[in-house]
Amino acid sequence: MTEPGMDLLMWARGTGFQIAIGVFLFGVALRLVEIFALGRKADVAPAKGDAVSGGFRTIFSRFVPAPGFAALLPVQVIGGTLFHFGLLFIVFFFIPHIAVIKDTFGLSWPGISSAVINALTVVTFAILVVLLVVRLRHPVRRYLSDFQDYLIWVLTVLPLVTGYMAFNAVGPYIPMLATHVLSAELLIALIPFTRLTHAFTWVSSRYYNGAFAGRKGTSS
Amino acid sequence: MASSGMSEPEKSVLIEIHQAVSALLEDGSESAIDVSSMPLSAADFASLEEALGCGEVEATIDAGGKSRVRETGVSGVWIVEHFSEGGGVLAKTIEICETPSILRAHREDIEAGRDELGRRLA
Amino acid sequence: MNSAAVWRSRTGAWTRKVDDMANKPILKEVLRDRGVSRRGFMRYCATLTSLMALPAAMAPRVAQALEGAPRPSVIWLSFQECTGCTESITRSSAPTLEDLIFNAVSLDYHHTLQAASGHAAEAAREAAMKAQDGKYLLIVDGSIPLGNPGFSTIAGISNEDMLRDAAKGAAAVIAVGTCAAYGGLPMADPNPTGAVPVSHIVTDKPVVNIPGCPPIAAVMTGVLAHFLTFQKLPDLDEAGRPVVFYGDTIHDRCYRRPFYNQGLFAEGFDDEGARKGWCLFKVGCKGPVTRNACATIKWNGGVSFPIQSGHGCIGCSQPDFWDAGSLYTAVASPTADITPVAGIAAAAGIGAGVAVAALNLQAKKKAAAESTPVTVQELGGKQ
Repeated sequence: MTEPGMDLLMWARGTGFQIAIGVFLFGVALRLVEIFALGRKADVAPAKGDAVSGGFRTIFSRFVPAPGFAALLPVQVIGGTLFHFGLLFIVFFFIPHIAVIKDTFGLSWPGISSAVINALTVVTFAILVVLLVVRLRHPVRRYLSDFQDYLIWVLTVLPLVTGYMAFNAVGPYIPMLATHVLSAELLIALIPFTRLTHAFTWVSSRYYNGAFAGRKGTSS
Repeated sequence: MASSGMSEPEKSVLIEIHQAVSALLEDGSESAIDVSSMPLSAADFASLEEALGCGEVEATIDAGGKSRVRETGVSGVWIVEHFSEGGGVLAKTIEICETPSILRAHREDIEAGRDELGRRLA
Repeated sequence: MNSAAVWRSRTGAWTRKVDDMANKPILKEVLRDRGVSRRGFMRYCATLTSLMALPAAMAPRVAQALEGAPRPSVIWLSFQECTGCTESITRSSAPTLEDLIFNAVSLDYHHTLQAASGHAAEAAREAAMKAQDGKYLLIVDGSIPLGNPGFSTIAGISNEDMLRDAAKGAAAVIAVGTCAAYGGLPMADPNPTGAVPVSHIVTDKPVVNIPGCPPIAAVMTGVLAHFLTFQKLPDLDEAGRPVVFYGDTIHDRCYRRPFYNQGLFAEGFDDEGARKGWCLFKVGCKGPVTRNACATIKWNGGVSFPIQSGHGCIGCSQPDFWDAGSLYTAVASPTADITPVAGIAAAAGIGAGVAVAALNLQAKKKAAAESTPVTVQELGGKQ
């Protein structure tokens, strides 16, 4: 006789976690080596500006949208920014998540009130839904969207929804917690094999663009 | 005794008590409400006790453990509490009756007492 | 008076008592002998009624059942156990609810309490089973070792044989404690004795599981009282537990829940959070995944329970709780050490990356070698 959901939860905490982290690290290592091994094309023209300072400046300057962009696409700019911050706070500042990180890596930091995170989850989910609707309703955006776009939306939303349901005791708790952990593990494992790789290539990518333009003496 | 500012569970208990007292007056039927197994918070219960008020009778019972019977300000409405050795509440009921049965002397105990008294007189 | 001592003092009379059996209501005399007045008995019944989550008006019916109905025969078998379950129920210094229940039943066999009687106890068991065939309640604590019958025997009889034999004529089987209900500590990895729970062996009739390490005495009493009052077992969930006591998790009824909701956690056992009584999630509380009545009924007559005393729930009423990761690791945290996996995965990734990079560079070189300049005319453009 077993408690419904416990076997799944224990698997997720044990083998499931090992598989997820293993696939994730394999994928990240593969991707980073692959990208950096390609190197940069040598620019034989004489330098008109400084690459390094351009690179570092661009890492931060790209946080601000290009002039006119925000006015053109306010929903995407505001919504996009907000849900990124929302996910950041939810994943890294919800205390039970910090507990998982502490138990795995030994690192810990102060968290945010769980009541605040709870409210933030609803807001973040709402924004993600709005962004999906906006994507589906615009014919060009819909045309440009492929299977991967929808896949990563689902992968991101599943842990959000199941986490919310578990914390607020919506539905049977133990199977819901197991589902939440498994959906998070699925997301983690697939990050390096989807566009979500941008989560750790955004820094080097911005630096590259900034350095390239900086050397040419143009703005980026 | 205003009913505003009362929580829903507290209000529903008071309504039930009101109906039970009416029934007691009508045909003498007694009732009891187990409040220890209700989702009433400590604050709710304190508020409930305050709403009922204090009566004229308070009795402590020591029958294999301590119990307490208090008449509330509403005559016929009694709070009966049974305590464990450690002082924790084992059960708490609101009884609507003329006298809670636990206060009355029972036939078997009376018979046993009479026999014992008889032995001492002999 | 210590109730275990009471039973021991009666062991001389066990064989005689077998004839004098369970069909006479002698509870009243027993209570009178122990100085429990009718009022005291009513107190017990009111408490039991509340414990079983029955309406207060049912107290008289409970009283009637306990004193009026014939005392059912109960056979208690103790197998691979630590005796904690028996201790939880019988160890008391004053007459308690548990005491009362044991007076309301005819405990015809309990080898730990009757140890001084030796063979006479076994004879009493066999006689009771025969006389009360189909009517007795079988209570079991401890797991059953299947690895080797010699691992746990009573009077030379293996646990498995004794259980199969006793279960045949039982009206109902109650598995008390996590060992009997789910295998418990003996069944924990690597399970050296091949321990199994009661339900693994008794498959032809319902087994009521009352898990806990030990179970709350009042829960045990409540189940027996339910049986005595209604002549049937309480509603069970899919793991065989009485829903009235095991329907909620500790987390569902925990008084520290507001702290969990706010995100106020104790980081250790002696920090500021611990002293303020904050949620024990971070120090490994298994409350969210544990079903039991500890948060409401509590222990030792409602004194306290682990969380109230500052220690997280260890999940002692759950199947396989000993193998569910450290008692001090949070309930959703990993149980596996990822260092070896991480090392191998990263190394494999780097290796794969180098291989892919080599292929990419080769493709680049090939493309550069094969590329030829194109003139505007070839492209079809204007001069």
